[in-house]
Amino acid sequence: MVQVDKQQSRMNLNNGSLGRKLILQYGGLFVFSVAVAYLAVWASTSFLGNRSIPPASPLPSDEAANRQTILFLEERTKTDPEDFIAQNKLAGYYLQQVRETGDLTYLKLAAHASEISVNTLVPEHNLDGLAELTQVELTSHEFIAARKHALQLIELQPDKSYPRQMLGDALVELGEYDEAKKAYWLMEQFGGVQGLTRVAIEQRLARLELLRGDPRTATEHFRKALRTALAGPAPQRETVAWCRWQLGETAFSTGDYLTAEQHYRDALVTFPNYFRALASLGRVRAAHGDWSGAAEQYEKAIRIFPDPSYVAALGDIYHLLGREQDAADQYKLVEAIARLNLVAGNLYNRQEALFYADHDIHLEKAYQNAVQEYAIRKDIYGADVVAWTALKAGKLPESEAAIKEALKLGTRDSKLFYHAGMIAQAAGDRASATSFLKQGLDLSPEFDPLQARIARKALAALTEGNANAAN
Amino acid sequence: MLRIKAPSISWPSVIVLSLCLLLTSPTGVFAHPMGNFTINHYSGIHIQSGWIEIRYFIDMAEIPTFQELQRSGLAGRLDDPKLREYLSSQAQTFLDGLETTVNGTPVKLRLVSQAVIFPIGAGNLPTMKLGFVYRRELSEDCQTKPCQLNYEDTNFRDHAGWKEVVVVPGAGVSLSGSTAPARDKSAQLSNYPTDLINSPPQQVKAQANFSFSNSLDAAPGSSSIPNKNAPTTETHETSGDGQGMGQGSDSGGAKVRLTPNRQGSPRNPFTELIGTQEVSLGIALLAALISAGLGALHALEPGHGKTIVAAYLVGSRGTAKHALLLGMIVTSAHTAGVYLLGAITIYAQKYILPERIYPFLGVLSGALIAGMGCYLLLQRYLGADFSHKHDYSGVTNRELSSDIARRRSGKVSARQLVVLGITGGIVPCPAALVVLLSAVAFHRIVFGLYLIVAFSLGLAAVLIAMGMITVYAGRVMSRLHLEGPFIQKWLPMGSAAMITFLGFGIALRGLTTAGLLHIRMMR
Amino acid sequence: MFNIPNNLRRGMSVALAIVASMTLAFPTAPSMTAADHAEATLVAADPGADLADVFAFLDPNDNSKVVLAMDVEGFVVPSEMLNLSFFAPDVTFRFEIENQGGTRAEHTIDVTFSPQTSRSTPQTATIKLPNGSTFTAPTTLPTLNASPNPFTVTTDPASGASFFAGLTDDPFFFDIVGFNRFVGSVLAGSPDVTKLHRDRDSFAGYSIHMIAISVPASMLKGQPNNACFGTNGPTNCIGINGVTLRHRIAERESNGTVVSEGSLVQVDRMATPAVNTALIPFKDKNEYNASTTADDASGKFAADIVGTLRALGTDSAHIGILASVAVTHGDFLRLNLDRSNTSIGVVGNANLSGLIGPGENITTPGYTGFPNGRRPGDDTINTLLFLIANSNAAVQETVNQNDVPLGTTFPFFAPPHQPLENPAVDGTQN
Repeated sequence: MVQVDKQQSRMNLNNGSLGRKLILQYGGLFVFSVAVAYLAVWASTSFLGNRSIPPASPLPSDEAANRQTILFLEERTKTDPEDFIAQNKLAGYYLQQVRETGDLTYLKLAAHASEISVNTLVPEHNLDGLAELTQVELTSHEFIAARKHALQLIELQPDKSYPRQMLGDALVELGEYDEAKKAYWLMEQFGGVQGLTRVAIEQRLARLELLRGDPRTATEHFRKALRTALAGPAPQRETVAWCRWQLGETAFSTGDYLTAEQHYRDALVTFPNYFRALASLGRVRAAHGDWSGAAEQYEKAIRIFPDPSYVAALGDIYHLLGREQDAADQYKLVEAIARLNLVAGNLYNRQEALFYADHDIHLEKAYQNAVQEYAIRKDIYGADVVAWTALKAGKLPESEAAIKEALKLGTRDSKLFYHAGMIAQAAGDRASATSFLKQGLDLSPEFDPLQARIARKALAALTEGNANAAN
Repeated sequence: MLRIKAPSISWPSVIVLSLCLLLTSPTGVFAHPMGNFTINHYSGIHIQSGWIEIRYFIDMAEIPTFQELQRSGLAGRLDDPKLREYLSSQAQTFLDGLETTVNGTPVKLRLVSQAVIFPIGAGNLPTMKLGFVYRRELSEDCQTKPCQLNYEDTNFRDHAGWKEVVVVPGAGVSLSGSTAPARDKSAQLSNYPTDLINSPPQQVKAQANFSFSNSLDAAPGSSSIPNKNAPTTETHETSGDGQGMGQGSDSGGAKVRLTPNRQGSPRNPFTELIGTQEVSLGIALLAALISAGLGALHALEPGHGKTIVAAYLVGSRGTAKHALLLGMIVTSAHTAGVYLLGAITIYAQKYILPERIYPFLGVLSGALIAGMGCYLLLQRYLGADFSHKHDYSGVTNRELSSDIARRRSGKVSARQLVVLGITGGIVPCPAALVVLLSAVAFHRIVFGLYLIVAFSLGLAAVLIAMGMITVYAGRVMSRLHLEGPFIQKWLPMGSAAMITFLGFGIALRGLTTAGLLHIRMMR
Repeated sequence: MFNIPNNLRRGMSVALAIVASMTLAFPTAPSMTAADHAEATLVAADPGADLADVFAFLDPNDNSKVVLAMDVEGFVVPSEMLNLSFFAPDVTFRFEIENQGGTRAEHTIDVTFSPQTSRSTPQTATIKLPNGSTFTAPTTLPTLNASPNPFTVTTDPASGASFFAGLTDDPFFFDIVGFNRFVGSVLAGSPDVTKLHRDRDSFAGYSIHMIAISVPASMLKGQPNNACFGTNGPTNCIGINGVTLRHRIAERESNGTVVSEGSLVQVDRMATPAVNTALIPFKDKNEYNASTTADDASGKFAADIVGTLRALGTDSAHIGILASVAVTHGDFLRLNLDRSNTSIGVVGNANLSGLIGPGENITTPGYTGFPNGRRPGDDTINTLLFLIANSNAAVQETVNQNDVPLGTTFPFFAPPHQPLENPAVDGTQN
């Protein structure tokens, strides 16, 4: 730079006045310094400042204290079922147990407690009762009822943040994204900058950003949530672990497997045996090609909570390890779980539909399942399941219409792109197919151990085909 | 030709009616706390004078059982030859996870007895209950000063479930402090509370201070374990039917006895029929028989216009044929309702949500029933003198001409019968709807339709029977020649009022569910 | 094994129960994966600035001192104490003091807290007195042991003020459900006093966040005036209003600290018990919380209060009495500094011997409590019921005493409830 200046000044010398030379020289220096300063500030805030999230450390478990609290409250409700304050607190604690253990028995208990509370005293005198009921409905996936009650809560408490959090949650699940955005905006207006409310707000903003295809901003929000959660005097183990896990999930979705793995391990430092982190750790190990490491983590997770998606993933890993019998066993277990759901009267399960479609079994049933669920829950992931199952069931027009819906928000999700690519291929649109598959594989190359392979094969075939066609 | 010989009195009908009312309190059906994937633990620590016994039960729900059977290659049946070896290895594995110490020294427990049962759970999948009894003599001197027991069950750590530990002192043993209760809440995992006011206990640890009292057979080091030198007994209980009628929980002793849960898995056998693998003729007939039986049972549950049937027959002094007719109409309406709603659900689900239809069906039925009830009420109020004997001119013939006379005398009218029957039965019960939709999901549509017909026939049978009882009971009572304005006028009016009331209730209920009406009560 | 759940509501009689069972909603049972991966943390409302009660009374051991207290964030279960023991650092807890007989406070005592850094480090409270001087004091941390930590009371030698902040037993005793049912029965036209006899104290067994300060009466004394209840002629009467405030703007720095700036905005206020909860209709509650005592005196809520009282059957004379307490001079707790007080409101001074006893109310002989200020043991609800029912002693709630003995010295509250081995035996009248 100085040399340029010298040259310039030489030119100026040749051209004319000393003043101009000085202005240019010092002016250039000035501009240069400003630029450097600006870069430094930008770097520190966007890279250093923001990348620094507090290191992971174990947090005390509140299991024993929560247990004691639940026993205390249960004794009160036994003596007086109309003790609606105890019922409300119980519902809250039960719901937290659902998050931590996955056991839906607690959801039933929460539903029972909140129902008694709401029937004891009307919402005007018992806002918490209505709030717990709404939360129970959200957790039970009764989104229409949850929306109704959230609206009622907003009417009763228009200047609080939490009813809008719940409304936004219901709307997102129902696929009403514009309304959800409004609700979340108001959630922030009334939210404040610290405490658990802030953590809840940031998490929801993150989710919205993920849906809109901006994982970077989503990561920012998750980071803020984590920092706020850790800043309190009594950070909750599960909340902190969840935030770290979500940071991992976001990193995984953009192909940053190293960062993702770090986040998952951090989550496990905070909350050993946090089953969500264990399963995701399995997935990222698989992304590195470490099949046996992946199997080990999935097995650990399943020992704690046999979520069918974990079981299916483990089956896929066993298949890749060549342990066909074990793989078959896992797939059978998924079907057993599906059967139990059916017998229980629950006819909507998109996880199940995806599993069938991915493994090319029960294709018509999977499609029916997907369509049934989409009828009452029109979110983009519901549309995606309809699209994928429709394709596998041979219903191309339906799948094309559905995948368009699924992509409408611009979500950057490899699975969506993969599905879109396969559908485009089936429809004969090679250009779109190539573009989608490439997009998906570029974003997160190992988004799924089995499906990513299929995607790569398809892409290879298409590119070869394209090359041949070009010749 | 139908003839009514005498006015029917309805005291027994009233009783039947009241019973119906009493039986319909909506307690709801709460499932017991064992979810599909729980692993429940029970540790019964019995401290005896000179020795200690631990009775350890593990009760696995459908999914962990499925996984365990896969892992171990078992068939889930008691005649499996691999079972004995499996049990022995499990006994050791579990024992390794039970950390038992007395005064800090680990207690090397030995297996005394083992058992397993495979009660059938939801979806016809087996569950598994394992029981082990471990014992060991205590060499510590717990007589001169108290000993301390520490116990921790580390098996299936972090896995959700019901976890109980109890510490029970035997004869000659006194506990001077225990962190575990002396009695469990689940009858050793065979009778879980279903009231949803308790979360499942999560106790896996226990600490207890105990001492032996001064008695002859409590000398330290003396091994007074009964049957100490008897070989390890293995017992396989043969109660594999899993229907939940256990004779009683484990009562102690060297032999362990396991009983299936009384709650079982609250499964709807009807929906499970759909899931059967092959449908041979034999299975089809059996399924039909079962469906009919279930329909009959279902008819005894609240709903389906039984009350209205009874109320109507009470008030109209109907005959057996009326009862038959009414029952059949209700049933056909019910079947049609299920088919209709099922069709709507399947084919029009993009436009109409099933949840939205239900309440309006209710409103419609309710309005019709209420209207009917009002009409009957007026009729009976205004209806003049009644004579003992009435000539009933038949349902189908001369309907129009005898209409007026019949209306006045408060007899049964075919039109009324039909309207009442249809409106009483048209609201389909969700169980049947789930069956139909499950059948569709399993590609067994025809089988599903067929089962629903069978179900409805069973329903019909019971409704008709109830109607008959009402009628014949009335006839029996009528022989007592009880008369008076109460019987002649007020009771029929009362029943008509009941019909009206119920009709309004149904309509109101529908409106509330549809969200068109908010009933707020500040209680 | 999830049965088809019964989505019925139980609002109907048994006859309609038959009907109800005919129209079940479409069944949906939660699937195994209902509790999804993507669900955010359960929503939380930070309750740190919602006032529960305010107290103002002469120290019975030394009438030259005035004790002021306010509490927030109650219903703390014993085993929750470690997680829920801190005071919101972004809230200003203020005692407004009026001592001229007017409708607007002239002085304030402000309490703010430093952020809490860990469960085992107390917060530091900064107390600003009416004369402008400040002092600091640590909060008292709870423990999960069998015995509570002793209260840390800090005395400022310069002003003679004493301060306490921490978890205490919730001194309030009241049957929320019974009261609501009783009011409902009155509004429905058939008052049923038996609804007040449920005998269940909704607050028993719980702890609450308490801030208490004792100051010399001379610090608060102003002009003699007529604003106090039941006085003939001017007395040294002061009015106390509890208020919580937050700064208008709160910014989060990149290192996580929060900086608040801008003017203070009122979040909640409380003086006379039960006014906002029972007499102000739901639609106006938020407005009431944001309003000032001057608004009260100008009649902003007079229509609401009078309307509710009329609907409850209160006659004009008694409406006048109640209005004089909560409306005419603004909603303040009016404490007569000249009136001697030797009790904290428990009958027979039982509390000062450390025993439980019924709370005093307006019918107790020699009563010097609410509406003359408010003492921790005063049975304010029965006093209010008595007045609302037109001096009818038959309309009383049977929940008339705290579940544990109150304190014998400043701050005069009972220690927080400690976790019991067997939670069943907590001895509460709940």
